[in-house]
Amino acid sequence: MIGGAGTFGHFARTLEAEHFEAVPFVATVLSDPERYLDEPLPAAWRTLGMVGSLCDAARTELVRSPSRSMHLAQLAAAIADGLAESYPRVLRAQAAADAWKAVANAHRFASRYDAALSALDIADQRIANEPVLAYDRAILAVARAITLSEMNRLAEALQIVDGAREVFMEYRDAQQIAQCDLVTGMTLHTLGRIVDARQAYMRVIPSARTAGDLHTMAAAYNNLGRAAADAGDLNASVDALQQARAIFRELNMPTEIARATWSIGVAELTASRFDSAIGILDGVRRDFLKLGMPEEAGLAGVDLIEALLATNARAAARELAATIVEELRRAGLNERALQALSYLRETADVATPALAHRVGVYLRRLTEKP
Amino acid sequence: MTPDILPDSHSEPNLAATYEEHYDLLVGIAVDRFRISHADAETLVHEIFFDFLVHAERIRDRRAWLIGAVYNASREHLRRAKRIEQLPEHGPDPADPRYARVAEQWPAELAAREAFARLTPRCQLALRLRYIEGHTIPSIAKILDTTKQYAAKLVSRCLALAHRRYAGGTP
Repeated sequence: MIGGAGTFGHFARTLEAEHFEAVPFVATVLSDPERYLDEPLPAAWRTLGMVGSLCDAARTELVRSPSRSMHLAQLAAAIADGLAESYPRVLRAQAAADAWKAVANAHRFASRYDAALSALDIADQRIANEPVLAYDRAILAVARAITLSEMNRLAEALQIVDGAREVFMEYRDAQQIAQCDLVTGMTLHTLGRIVDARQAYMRVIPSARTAGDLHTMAAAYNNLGRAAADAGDLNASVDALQQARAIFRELNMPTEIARATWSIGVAELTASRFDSAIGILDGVRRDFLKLGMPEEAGLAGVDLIEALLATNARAAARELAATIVEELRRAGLNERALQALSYLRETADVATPALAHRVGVYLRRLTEKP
Repeated sequence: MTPDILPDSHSEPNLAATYEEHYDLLVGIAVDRFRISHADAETLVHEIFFDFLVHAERIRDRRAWLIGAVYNASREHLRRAKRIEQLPEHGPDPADPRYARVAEQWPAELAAREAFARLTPRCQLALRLRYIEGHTIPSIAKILDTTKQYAAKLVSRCLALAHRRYAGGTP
C-alpha cells in the first residue's frame, strides 16, 4: 500500500535515488559485463534502480554488441528475479519482465529468434498474475510481434500487434500506437502488401509527431520511402527519404543520414536520373568511408558504378571498381565478394549497368548471409 | 517497460500532485463503473500508481493513461475474480497444511534463500530456470545462449555450490 500522496512521493524519491546510485555501479559493470555474471552480487546492487539502469545499458549496447547486451540483460534478470520482498510485488514483477525483455531483444538482434520467444515467455509469466500491468503486457506483445515478423511468421505478428494497439489506444499513448503502426507497416511490407504498408507508415507519422518521437517519425519516413520505391513511385520515395534524412540530421545520427542518402541515390538511379545519382552516391560513399563503414561504402560504390556505366563513364567505373576491391580486401570481405567485384573491374569496358546491378544484388545477399 | 524512473521533470512533488489529483477519480471509476469493492479498488489504484512511476517519463497525457489503466485493471480484476471460488462465510476454516510445521521450516527456508542469494548471477539464473520454473537443460542452454553440455555442467556445479553454501561451507 502507498498510503497517501506524501508516502507516494517519498517512495518515488527513493526509487529516483536508487536510479542515481546505480549509475557508477553500471559503469563498473560495463567494463566487462560477462565477468559480473560470475561474481557474487554486492548487496548494494540488488535494487530496482540497478535493474532499470542495467536494462537501459543493455538497450544502448544492442546495436554495438548483442553479446554485451545479453550479459547486461542477464545480470538485470538475475537481480530482478531476486529482489527483496520489501519492494511492492507489482514493481518486482514489472522489473523482472523488463529484464527478460532485454534478454529477448539481445537474442533477437543476434537472430536467435526461438531463444527470444522463450525469453519473452518468461517475461510474460513474470507479470501474468498482475491485473494492473496491461500496459506492460502490451509492450511485451509488441516485442513478440517484432520477433515473429522477423521470423516471417507474419500473420501471427499482425494479430499480436493489433491487440497491443487496442490497449495503447485505451491509454491514449500516441507514441506506442505509432510503434505498433510501424511494426504493422514493416510486416505488411514483408508480405508484399505495399499499398497497405504505405498506409500504415503514413499513420505512424502524425502519431509520432504528436508524441514528439522523432526516431519513430524518421523510421516511418525511411520505410515509406523504401515502400514507395518498391511500388515504383520514385518521386514519392525521394520525398519521404529526404524527410527521413532531415530528421536524422536533427537527431545527429550520421550513419542513418548516410543510409537515407544512399536510398535517395538508389531511387534517383532507378528513376534514370543518372547525374543526380552519381553526385549523391559519390558523396555517400565518402561519408561511409569517413564513418568507418567500408562494407556500406563498397556497396554504395557498386551502385555508383552502375550509374557511371549508364552514362558511359567506363574509365571512372573501372577505376572505382579497383578502388573498392582494395578497400574491401582491407576490410576483410569474403573472397566470393572480391571475385565478383574483380570481375566487374575487368569487364568495365564492355559491362552494362544491368551487370553492375546484378553484382550489387549479389554482394548485398552475401553481406546479409556471409 | 522503460525503467527510466523519475527524471528531474517528473520529480517527487509533481508525481505526488498527480497522485493527489487522480486518486479519488480512479477509485471511483473502479467502484462505480465496475462494482469493485472499495478495498480492492484502492489496492488496484495503488498498484497502478506503482506502474505509473516506472513509465512516468514517457507518459504525455497522465490523466488519460491513468484512466486507461484503471479500466484495464478493473476488467482484468473482474475476469480473475470469476475464476476464484468464494469460501462460505461461516464454514470450517482449517489451517493451511503447509504451515503445520512452520516453526521448523522457516529457519531452513531462510537459510536456503540466503545460500541462493550468495550464488553468482549466472548460477541464480540457471538454478531458477531449472528447479523453480522447470526448464529442461536444452531450454536453459537456449535461453542463456550456451551449449547443452555447458548448461548441464553449470546447473550441476551451481547446485553443488548452493548445497555447500546452505551447509555453511566457505563462499
